[in-house]
Amino acid sequence: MKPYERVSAAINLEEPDKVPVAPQITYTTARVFGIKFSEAMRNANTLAKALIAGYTAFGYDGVYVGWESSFNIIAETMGCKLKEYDDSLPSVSEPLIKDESDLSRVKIPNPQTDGRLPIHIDALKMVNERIGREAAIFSYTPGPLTLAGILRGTEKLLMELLTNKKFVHEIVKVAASACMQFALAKLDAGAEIIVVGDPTSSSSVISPRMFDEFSYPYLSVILSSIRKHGGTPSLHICGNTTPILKRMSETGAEILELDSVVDLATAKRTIGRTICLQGNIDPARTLMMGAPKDVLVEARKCIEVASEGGGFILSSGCEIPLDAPHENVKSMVEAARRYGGYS
Amino acid sequence: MNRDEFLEELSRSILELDARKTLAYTRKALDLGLDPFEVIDRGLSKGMKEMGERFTRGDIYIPHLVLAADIMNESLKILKPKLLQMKEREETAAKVLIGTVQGDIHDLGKNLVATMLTASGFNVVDLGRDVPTSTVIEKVKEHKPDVVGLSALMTTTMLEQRKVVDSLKDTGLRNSVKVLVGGAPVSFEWAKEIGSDGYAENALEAVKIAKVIVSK
Repeated sequence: MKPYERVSAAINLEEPDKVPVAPQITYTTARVFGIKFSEAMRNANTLAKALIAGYTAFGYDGVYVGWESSFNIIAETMGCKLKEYDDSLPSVSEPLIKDESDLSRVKIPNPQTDGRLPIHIDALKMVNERIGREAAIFSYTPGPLTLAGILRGTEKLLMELLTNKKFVHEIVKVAASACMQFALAKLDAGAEIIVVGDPTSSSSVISPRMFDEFSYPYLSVILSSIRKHGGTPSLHICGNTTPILKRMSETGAEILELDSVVDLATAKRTIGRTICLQGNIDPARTLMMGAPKDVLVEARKCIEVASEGGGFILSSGCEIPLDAPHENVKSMVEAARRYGGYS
Repeated sequence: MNRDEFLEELSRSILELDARKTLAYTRKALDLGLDPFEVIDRGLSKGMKEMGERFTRGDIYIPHLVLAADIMNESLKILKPKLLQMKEREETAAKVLIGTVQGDIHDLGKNLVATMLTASGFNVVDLGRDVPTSTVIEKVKEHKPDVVGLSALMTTTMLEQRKVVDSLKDTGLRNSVKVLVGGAPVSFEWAKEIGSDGYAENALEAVKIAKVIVSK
């Protein structure tokens, strides 16, 4: 089977020849390609080359096309100021929406022309052209509540979930349409799987009821639109999502990316028959601080509890840290090949 | 309403996230001539600690905690002039220097820890977010704290926690101060590996550990 066929089979809840492996690795390929983080931020060609270098070095089945978090680049394009560092992730330093009157001035960016978004669209086309016939192409768009938090200031927005619900809905609505435009442009550029990344929706942050009220309605519109446009929608929520697994599986997503604190066996048992699960090796403790043998052990356990009957993609619980040893990423791929066979 | 009932109501207003009531009661406490330290201990802090416990039990979530902390901080502003007049207690309290490390702008968790520490009687100096290692060293020299708390939410920035510990060693300050680390990707193993004195999983835990390590 070709790598992308393995991933497709898993998404269709069928058994591939082997468990597919798709580490969430973007900027970490800078270390493979021998560049600093900032060198790929403004150059589609460098970005694409680094991602392809990662794919070539590690040989996984799915490639993530992105670099810094998609929230940052969308927020920057919408008018947030970014603080940059030479060799690390930039961050949004000032919120955009300081009071209610600022909201009407916020513009939805056009991914083909605005800010640094075209760099990501172009890189996607390049990667797709080079390896799209072998590997599954994943790419991110932000989750509406998370983007809303960045535009408003997360601390403020979280308080307003309790004190000013109407205003939160207004911000999330604007954020959702920015997320949607980016997702659709990425589909046009050749992405097959659009991952909506939404850390603020985590049950480590907000209550399941808040998820239902402020995240679910907007996520389900975006995820089902991705599907309608021929893409595969995936939902990534960091941290603990155990209380909302069932709801996440009803959003219209076809893949759920689960973080390392979620018990994969429980997820498999409760929703594993209805949706493809992906995860969930600990990115910090195991992939960054652990040894290759630790990765093998944890990966094997993931495969044992979640691969039965298909519908499983081996991955990291979240993005792989910039300085995670390459041997550990190799180990993850090796584990999928060694322990992931379906007979 | 007697004094005990009054303070109980104040503490309950924090649990109810009723900002207007909390602020009104705080002002009234001053008018009544209550000791502001007692207003904190038996009113505001008591409510805040109960919020922390409810959070640990999973009954409430981060937005509730952030809102409660915000209300408490607004109340502390009202009490501040009075507290400054009674400064001697502040000088005997253990001092904690706290900040989010360089490259990291996530200060929500750090702010909660700072509020919980203040609520528990620590004298907290908040350095803010994205704080360069050199600033931490400078401020340690200036404030001579008992504890330095370092927060990092990202796997890329948790490496800065190690740099601060190393830098404290290089400048000969390491033995004069205890170092506490925290943040989503941070673990007990990491805290140990970089040579810090403790790790806390959440804000309530941070207070417990801070109390233990300053008494050592």
